[in-house]
Amino acid sequence: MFSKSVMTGTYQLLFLLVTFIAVPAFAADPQHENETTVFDKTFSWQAMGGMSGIYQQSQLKGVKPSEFEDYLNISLLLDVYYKGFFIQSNHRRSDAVTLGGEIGYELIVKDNWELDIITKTYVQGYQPRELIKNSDLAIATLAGLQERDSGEGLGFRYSHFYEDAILSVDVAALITDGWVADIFYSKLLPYRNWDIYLGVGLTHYSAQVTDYFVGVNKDEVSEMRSFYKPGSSYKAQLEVFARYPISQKWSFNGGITQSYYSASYNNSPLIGQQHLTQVMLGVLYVF
Amino acid sequence: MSFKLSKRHLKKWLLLSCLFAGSTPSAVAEIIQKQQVQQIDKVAQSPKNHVSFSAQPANCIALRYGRTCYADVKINWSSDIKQDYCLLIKQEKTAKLLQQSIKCWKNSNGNEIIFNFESNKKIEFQLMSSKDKQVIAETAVEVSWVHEATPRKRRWRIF
Repeated sequence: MFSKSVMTGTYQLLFLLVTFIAVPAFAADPQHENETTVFDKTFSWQAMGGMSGIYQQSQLKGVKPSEFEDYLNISLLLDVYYKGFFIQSNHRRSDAVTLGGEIGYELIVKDNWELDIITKTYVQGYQPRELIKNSDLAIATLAGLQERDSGEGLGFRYSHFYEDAILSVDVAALITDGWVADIFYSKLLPYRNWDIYLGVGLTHYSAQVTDYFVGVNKDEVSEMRSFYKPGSSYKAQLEVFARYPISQKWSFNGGITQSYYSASYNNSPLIGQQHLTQVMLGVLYVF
Repeated sequence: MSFKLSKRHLKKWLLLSCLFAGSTPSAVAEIIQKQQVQQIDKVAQSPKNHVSFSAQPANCIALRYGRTCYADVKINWSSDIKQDYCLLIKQEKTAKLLQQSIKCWKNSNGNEIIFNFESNKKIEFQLMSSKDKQVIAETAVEVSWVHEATPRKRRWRIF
């Protein structure tokens, strides 16, 4: 019998094989047109340390942030680029295998668009036992529920670059079965030394993905938890994110994200919070 | 008989050589600039006139490489000698040294202005004596950035 960790390991190994052996064979070293002028380096990296206060509601019924660490996020971020391979960290990290970052390879790079093969965590997993243990109150809807692994995905990203804006479309298969399609448009509004990003996103979760994360299978049915097989679902997101340079090493970062989920997701007996508001305020140190 | 080539003669000779030998204008501008800097030292070191000239902040920080940096720069100057002065921006355009006047003061020995800095590269300021058109002091505001240029375009998303 395969355990979930063995499956995760196999998935990671498969990804490494695909990226480091198979992909370069047909991608044939994409060239950045700007590498020869300003960006004359084929290798670049940047390490950053982030510390932020976060406020985020949990969608799961009965789960509330209670401890100090629930409001504090300390992270080490690394952006690496080498001949088409990249590791790109998101500002906020999760505990998933890619640590909240995106690992990928640029298959095609053009002036105003590119196509990447990419792996990242598309859906955050959760461990009902841990959540119950850390909660002051009993959470009946989570008692006896099986663990949900993080939804790590492997797929393609198409990015279209406009002046001060990026449209990206991800289509990825998840380790937990099913697939995700994610469209995100981010517009930069520079105001003096501020960078203000307005983002809007739409994510489609296939039936397998939604069933796995918020569905209740027949083995999990209890008095507080009826059988639930939702089918596919959607999430719409609006985001405002601002950055400001404090010094040559420090910058301020702050943002707010509002997420709306479709009825099939919200009607789950596991879900308490139908729409999510997440706020982050912090600083970033560049090494 | 001996021939002694003074520094001043050497500079003039170099300047003329460059001009007549068809040297690049940037090299000429550089020599003029060096002469001006030496003149500044001369005036500043003179016991009769002590000049102080500063711009704060001396460094404007932008988020990303190449991005325009904005700052309200406080430019402060004072001189022992009361006379007419002008504050200039030193610009190098198409290898020519140009000077753009920001503000002039009549019969003054010190003043302060707020300059709206808006640039993606260093700006040098000069304080000039209007009487003899001599640059008597220089200062600059540098531009630096938090994030270096990267070959990959970045997408920021927090949640």
